Amino acid sequence: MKSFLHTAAVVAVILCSLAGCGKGEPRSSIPVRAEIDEKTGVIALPADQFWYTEEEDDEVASASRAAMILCKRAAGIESSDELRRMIPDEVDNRQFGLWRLSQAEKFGYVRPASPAKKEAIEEDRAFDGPSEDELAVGEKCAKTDERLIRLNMELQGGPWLREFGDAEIEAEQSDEWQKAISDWAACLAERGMTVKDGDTVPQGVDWDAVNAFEVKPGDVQIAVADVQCKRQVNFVQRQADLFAAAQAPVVEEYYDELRAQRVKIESQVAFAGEVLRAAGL
Amino acid sequence: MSANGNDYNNIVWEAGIFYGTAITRTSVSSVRNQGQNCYVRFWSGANHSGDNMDFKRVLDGASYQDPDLRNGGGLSSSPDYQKSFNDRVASHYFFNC
Repeated sequence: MKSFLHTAAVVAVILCSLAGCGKGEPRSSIPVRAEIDEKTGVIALPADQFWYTEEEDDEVASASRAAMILCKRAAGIESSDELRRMIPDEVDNRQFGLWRLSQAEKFGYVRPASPAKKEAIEEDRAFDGPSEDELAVGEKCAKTDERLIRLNMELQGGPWLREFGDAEIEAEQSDEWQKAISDWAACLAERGMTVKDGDTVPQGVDWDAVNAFEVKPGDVQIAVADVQCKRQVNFVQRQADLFAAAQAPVVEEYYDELRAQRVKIESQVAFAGEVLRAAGL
Repeated sequence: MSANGNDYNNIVWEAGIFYGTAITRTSVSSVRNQGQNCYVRFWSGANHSGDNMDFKRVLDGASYQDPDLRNGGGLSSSPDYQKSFNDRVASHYFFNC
């Protein structure tokens, strides 16, 4: 479905258009086009603004990490991880595939990561898992620590999730969706590249290298052609618009419930800030 | 990563596949995030496209594993979490490290 890791600015803009910017305005202007911004990597669909922003996700995850470490410490267990905030992630929405030429030219299909993030991933590769004691205390903390219970709050969901999913499947099965794919594939074919049925990337990419953050010239060449063809046929906007149009009636139907979900998220994020400040982070 | 402790019979990082290694196959029916730093996001399409589901770290004591992806999985912060992910994992991404 979604591209929920978007920026707060996009959320504000779309919420305004959904709810009406002034008192008493109808919410009849639910956008049926996606907001896409190649510079920032954001693809904003109507449903996204009812979930977490990238910044909010980072805030809650950081607070959860800190609260868990402090809970374990209170139980006499020093956690395997260090007391710090999570390393922030950059927004780079690829739900419709790679689409930003600047990224393709520099990195191919690799998603660049900071040295600190690469180091964290390397540490994870070498990690043998927590001790049985730490695992047991951690699971107990997750169930009993009041901070963690609030920070681990699960969104309750509802019929809108299935309806969003069904609407998107319908969009994916539409002639317009398939035409976008065939237009893109035809453009690639003119450049001597092939795409397997159902794939979102041309053949020939060295995925082992991509996942090791290794930028290979051959992969860059494929990535650039991929993105140029997407641009040529307006691929991402066409597909994102189909999703936006599919989501809009579901947003309209469940607007109050989705707003209620959003209010819960905002309350949780505010609490996360309190936990982080108390932890000195 | 070989199965042990709370691992499942069929996990993403099974024998010979180390944590963080490329996941390009799709025969995955259960997952566990064994890392100490990063959350992991699985995608139904190549290079982080399509639907996704998120898991915390084993150190978080919750939401770090799922034995059966047929009924969805991962954190409810992903709107896709109720969709079946059985045999649909095509790529992954580490975040919240």
